[in-house]
Amino acid sequence: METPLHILVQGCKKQEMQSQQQLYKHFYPDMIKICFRYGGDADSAGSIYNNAMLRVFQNIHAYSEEGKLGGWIKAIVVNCCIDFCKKKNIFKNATPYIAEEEVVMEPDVFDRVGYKEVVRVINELPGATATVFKLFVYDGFTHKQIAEQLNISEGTSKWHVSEAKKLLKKKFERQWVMKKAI
Amino acid sequence: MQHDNSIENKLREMEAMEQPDLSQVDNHWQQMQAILQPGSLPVKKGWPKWMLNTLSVAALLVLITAAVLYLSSKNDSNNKNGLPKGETVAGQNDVTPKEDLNNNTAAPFITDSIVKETKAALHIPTIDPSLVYQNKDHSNDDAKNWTVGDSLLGTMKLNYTPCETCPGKEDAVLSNVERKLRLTSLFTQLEKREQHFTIDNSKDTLLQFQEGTVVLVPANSFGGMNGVEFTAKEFYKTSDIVLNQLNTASNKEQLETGGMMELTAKYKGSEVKINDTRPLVLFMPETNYDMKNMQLFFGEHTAQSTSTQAIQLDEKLNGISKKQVSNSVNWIARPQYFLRRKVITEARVLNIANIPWLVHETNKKKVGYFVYDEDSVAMDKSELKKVLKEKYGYTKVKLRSSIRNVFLITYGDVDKGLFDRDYSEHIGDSIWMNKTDADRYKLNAVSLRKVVVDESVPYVNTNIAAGTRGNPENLLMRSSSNPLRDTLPFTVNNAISDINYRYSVNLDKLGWINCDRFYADNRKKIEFKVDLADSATNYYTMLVFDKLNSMMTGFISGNEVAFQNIPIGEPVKVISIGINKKGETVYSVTHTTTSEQELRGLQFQTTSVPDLKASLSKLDK
Repeated sequence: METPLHILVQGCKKQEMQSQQQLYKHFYPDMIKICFRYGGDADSAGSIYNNAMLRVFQNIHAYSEEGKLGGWIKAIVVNCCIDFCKKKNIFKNATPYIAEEEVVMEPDVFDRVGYKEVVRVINELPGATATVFKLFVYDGFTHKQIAEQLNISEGTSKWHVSEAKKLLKKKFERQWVMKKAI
Repeated sequence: MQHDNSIENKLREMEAMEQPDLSQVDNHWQQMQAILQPGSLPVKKGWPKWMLNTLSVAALLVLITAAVLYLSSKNDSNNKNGLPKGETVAGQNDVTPKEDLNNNTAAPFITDSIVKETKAALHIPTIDPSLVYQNKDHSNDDAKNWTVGDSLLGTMKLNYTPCETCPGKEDAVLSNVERKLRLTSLFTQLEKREQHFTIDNSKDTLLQFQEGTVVLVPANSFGGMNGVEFTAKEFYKTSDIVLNQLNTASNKEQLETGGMMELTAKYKGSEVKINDTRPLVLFMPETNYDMKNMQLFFGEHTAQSTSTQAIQLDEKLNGISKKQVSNSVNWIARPQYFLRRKVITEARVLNIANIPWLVHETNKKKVGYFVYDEDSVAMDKSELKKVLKEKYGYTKVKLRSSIRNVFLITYGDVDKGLFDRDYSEHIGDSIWMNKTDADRYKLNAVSLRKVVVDESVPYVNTNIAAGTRGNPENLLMRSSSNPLRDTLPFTVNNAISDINYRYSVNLDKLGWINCDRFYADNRKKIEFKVDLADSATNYYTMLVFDKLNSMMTGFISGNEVAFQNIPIGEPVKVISIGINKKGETVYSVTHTTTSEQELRGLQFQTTSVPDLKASLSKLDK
């Protein structure tokens, strides 16, 4: 049975602008959140999404897997996000992994702050640490996959996640103490 | 580690709840549109465009060079004062259209800088019809903004931007396809989350879900495999049923529901079926609804569900006029009713009931013939005979082994294969019986177990039913240590004592499951119509009954939704969720009473996913 998306894909294969627009806007809400997470601002997020969608439109003639369009587009978007981060050269200084104790954070910490505050604080982390943390937490990458994607070692990936948690804990706890004091 | 997973889950959850910023979508699309101009995408067949252009230029250069050389040599021969060769060739090379070369070469990957540059580039993008539609009302006002040096895209931006605030903004309609896609996307976000369990099916497992559903998965019901993935979604609240586009209708007949769920079981990614002889038992949570006469229904997806309707591109701007049913699941009744069941404790004791296969009685003697199982008699044969003689007054007791089939009773035609066979009750077997009865007769139990029995059926152990004729006085039992096979379908552990007296049903298949009953009402049935004042295919509209736990979806025709076979004068709520012409998510909850008069003037308000969930949760009883 033909679904709306199936029809749009057919239109995109014929390079029909209207189908491309529908597909672009259909996935925009979900994907722009990912792009924003890595880009940090609306302009960068838009650039990342446009790069990703250009790749989608360039390769859509080869797309044949029914029902997995969203997953395919998401994979391209995440790759574009990684490319965006790589362009910033944030991974040039690889940090050696030093095994540390697991940082324990109570999830309740996040109940005290809003989502925007959490994103702001994550974006304030060092670039590489923030990117690895986002790939690990939000996009479900394993340390092995992160290591392959970013040309770093698995140990370094683990270190970044651990470091991110440590820094987040410090920042949120400090904020919490300050708020309490006020 | 558990803490860390919780943090990750929490962060994901927070992000999922956050609404995306859609304020820049049109700006971003305009940039994309400029990128997508003809030539930017690869040509599928033949030579690449840039290569063709380069070859063309190279060929032109060769021709020009050849021509110049020819002319030069001619001039040399005719005029000795002509220009040197190299100078002439160099001059030709200088006029090579470098810009054209660059312009005709498609960029394989668009970088940030290129995206930003496209705003001012001299490209002519394909005009988005929606922008053209917006611009037409303001063409005179914006004409002055056109200048020779402006790009068309730049001009379109000038035209487009003021419209964000101008009164004609409401004319900026989205196509029906886009609205439907947004509606589909909205309901995807509203979908209830699955609950997961991984079970070892080599043993009995009791699964308790978040909203109180309990499923007993007997050992070997899924082939006894370890690692069976069991998932469930529960739908008991009105809000959950509405937001997941479910309904309570079976082939257009109205139902009342006691709850719905979607159950699946997979092993290594493939669905597994339930072993017919080991059915699952589904226990419904306690509810306020009268569960009597509730029946098992299985859901079947209808081909015309809103979320999967095939939408042709030629319908983009015109809407869909033909009638469509918008419910996504039709419930098919099964001849199984939800019964109230209870969990009882059984004791395993020795069966020495007076169940002779044959009694040979004369004036002087009374001989009892008993069948016994040699492997399971706990006591000595002579001791057993003595007990029976003393207990029941036989002058002589004869024991016959069942193995010899001496006492085989057959029913039906053996030759045709249509037969059933039964054996006379064995004596000396150990049996499971209600522990209360065992205690009453002071019988020693060698082991205990819990079993689920129908409350409506008086408890009778299957092993002793024929012999006792319901008279437990005939039983004389003594403890036995013989481990015998279980005769009841499953056992459960102590943890389920809290499900005592719940309504339950056996399941021999999974999927969409509904605990419903047909709603019997003698009142006149009508077609209740609602006018949404907008194309109804862009909305999901449902009728929720105030006095019943019942939700109906209707048929769509233009702006109308018609609910058929509805009792007149019933207090209801009309809930409609959709995407309006501006692309906003809107919803309306209208309290009314069903009548033959069409309902109009629904008040829609904009909402977000979390707000919608919160608003509709107020409907939950």
